[in-house]
Amino acid sequence: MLELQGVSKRFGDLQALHTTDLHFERGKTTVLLGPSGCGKSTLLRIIVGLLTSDTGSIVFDGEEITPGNLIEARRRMGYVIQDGGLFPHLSVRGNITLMARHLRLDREEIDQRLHKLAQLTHLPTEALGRYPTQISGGQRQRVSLMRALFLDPQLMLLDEPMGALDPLIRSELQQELREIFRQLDKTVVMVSHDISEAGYLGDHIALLKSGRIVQQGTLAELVKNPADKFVTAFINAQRSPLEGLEAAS
Amino acid sequence: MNTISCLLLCVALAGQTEDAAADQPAAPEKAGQFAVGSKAFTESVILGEIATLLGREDGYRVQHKDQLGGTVVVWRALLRGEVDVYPEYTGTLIEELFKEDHLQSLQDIRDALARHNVRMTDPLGFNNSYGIGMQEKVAERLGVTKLSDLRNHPQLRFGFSNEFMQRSEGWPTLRVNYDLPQTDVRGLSHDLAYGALVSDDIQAMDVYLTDPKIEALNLRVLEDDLSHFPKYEAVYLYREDLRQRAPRWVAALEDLAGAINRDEMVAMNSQVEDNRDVSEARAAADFLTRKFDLHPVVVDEGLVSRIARYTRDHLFLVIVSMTAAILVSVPLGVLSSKHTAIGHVILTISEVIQTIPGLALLVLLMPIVASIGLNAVGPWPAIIALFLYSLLPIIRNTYTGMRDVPTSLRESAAVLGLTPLAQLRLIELPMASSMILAGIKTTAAINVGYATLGGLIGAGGYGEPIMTGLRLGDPYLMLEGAIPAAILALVVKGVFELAERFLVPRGLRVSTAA
Repeated sequence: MLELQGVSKRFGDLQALHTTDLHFERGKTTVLLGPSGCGKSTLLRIIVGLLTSDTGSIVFDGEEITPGNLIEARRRMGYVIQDGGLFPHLSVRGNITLMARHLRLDREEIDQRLHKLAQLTHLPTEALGRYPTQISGGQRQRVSLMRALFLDPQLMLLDEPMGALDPLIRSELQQELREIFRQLDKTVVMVSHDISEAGYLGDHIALLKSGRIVQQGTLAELVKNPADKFVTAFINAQRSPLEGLEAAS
Repeated sequence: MNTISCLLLCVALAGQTEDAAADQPAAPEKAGQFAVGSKAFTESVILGEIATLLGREDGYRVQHKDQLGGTVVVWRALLRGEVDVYPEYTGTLIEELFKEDHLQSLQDIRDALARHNVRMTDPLGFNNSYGIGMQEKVAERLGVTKLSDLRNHPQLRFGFSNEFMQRSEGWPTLRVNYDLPQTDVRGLSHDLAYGALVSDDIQAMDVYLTDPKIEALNLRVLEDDLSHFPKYEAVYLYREDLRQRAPRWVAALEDLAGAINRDEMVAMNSQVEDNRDVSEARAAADFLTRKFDLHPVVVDEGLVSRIARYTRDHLFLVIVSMTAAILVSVPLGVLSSKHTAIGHVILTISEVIQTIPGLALLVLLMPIVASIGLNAVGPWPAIIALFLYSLLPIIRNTYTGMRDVPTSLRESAAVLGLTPLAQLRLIELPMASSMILAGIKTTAAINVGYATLGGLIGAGGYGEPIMTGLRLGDPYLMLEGAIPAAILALVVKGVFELAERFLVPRGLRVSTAA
């Protein structure tokens, strides 16, 4: 589905991403996990063409992405960022249907798709007429997700989509995301620094550190057979709330 | 002047004059209310003003319905009693209004007019007939003083107005009567003919005898030694009943007989035509003061119509320059925001333009404007200067507005798969619209103020009374320009604030509330 071959990226003196090969399986959710500055977002931005890799190539659905086919390729991808990236001058409906209208799809079809997606993401219908500044953070991410899903892309790319949400909303949205991805059978690449989120949503996890993939596999594999001390440390860094109780007593 | 076009109109409608009722009663206007009419050219309006002012001097309430149109229109207005008096020419009466009657003498004309209950004053003292003009030095060199002399110079090129080429007393009969041999004779517009004459492309043209250009361009009018051209002596026509209704006025009009010689009429014509700020009424009043020691009160062009004219001229300057500035600046601002290096150059250049003092820029522009074939005295230098001054603020605001679009949104637009042009159209420009419009709004308000500089170079607008006021030390006159300019600036600002409601997307104006 998506193949990174020998991709690397350098910003001045900083090697943000060392030469990396990575395969994303169709219908699976892969989480790029790691601490800040590990290169996970850089990797995602290279896939979507916001950054150009210094070396290597990206093969999407059997075809290498080039400047010539980038725009067309992007239309087969959905991209969600931390704060939603909603356009403030467009209503919620306008944001979601922007591309469909730009491509002059049938209006009735657009409307049907809009309401289907609203149901799927549990977005209240009345929110469709509002503007991004008039809805809550959780709703904004739902809208962003609807916008990404609208043209039924083969590949969904999410860059810490829940990073700015409070824990209750985040957990609710995580659950919904899992249902949605399973239901729609999408290939998903998600960036996260939260191992529990990665374990909950990801079929496959790639753990990065300083621009390199340290280990990949399921959460269970990472826990049972950590490749090095960093993996163990990263897994253990996630505190259970019970820890706090123990410390207090 | 345009006697000819009036006459032409008259020819077209000549058949209809006969049915005009001859003895209709005066129009049911308010008692003691009188009206003077005039045709649509300067001399007629001046003569109309003289009659009007004389009536008022005699205590009558007289209105001047000026520039009504051509001969037939004014003649009929007289017959219907819509006007009581209007200036006319004997030639027009003989050749046009009573063409069928083959009138010869003034008495013939009076008799013909009497049948319509219209009376005529004695000639005022000048003849506005056709003549043939040559450059004085050319005529001198060739020794040409009268039309017959032209026979000896078959090589001369003639340029005649198109009317003159066709009229019965024009070139066709002139050629026959004087047996003129010239073959290089062309028809061209009257205004162009002066230029052609001065540049010696042609050596003779048709002129009107009271045309100020005869003196201005130092032309010699050849003597009509065979009396080819009919006389166009100026007279007043007035309704018979006016003798009872306003006897003192009629007496005053009759007293004008022989009172206006050609030079005086030419002087009045030139006074009005060469000075924007001398109205026909002013020229007429000055004449009455000089000639009869009368001191009529002249209310020059009404304040309202004067301000309306300033406003129209001013809006022209502002609208043309702003439209051009917007069309150029917004794309330049977008370009600047996309390419830092180009943007630096563009912004620097527009900043430098901004530092050129207004008057210097105007003076610099005048020869440039002239070199591209536009009139250097008039609105164009001002429009170009205003255009140049408007560039920077709009470019800068567009640049800033574009730069202020958050990177994350720019990226979101790109990642959706929008082409760069669609990103610009659908995302960046709408998001920058508020900033761009603010720039345009401010620029327009400043532009309204700057446009008063146009008064320096005859561009019209509110600058005209301001500059005249400065010249004459008349603060009231300056306020006539300054106050409307301030009001217009506010109106422009209001219009743009209204435009914001339509142009700035609603999402950018809603309050942040969940």
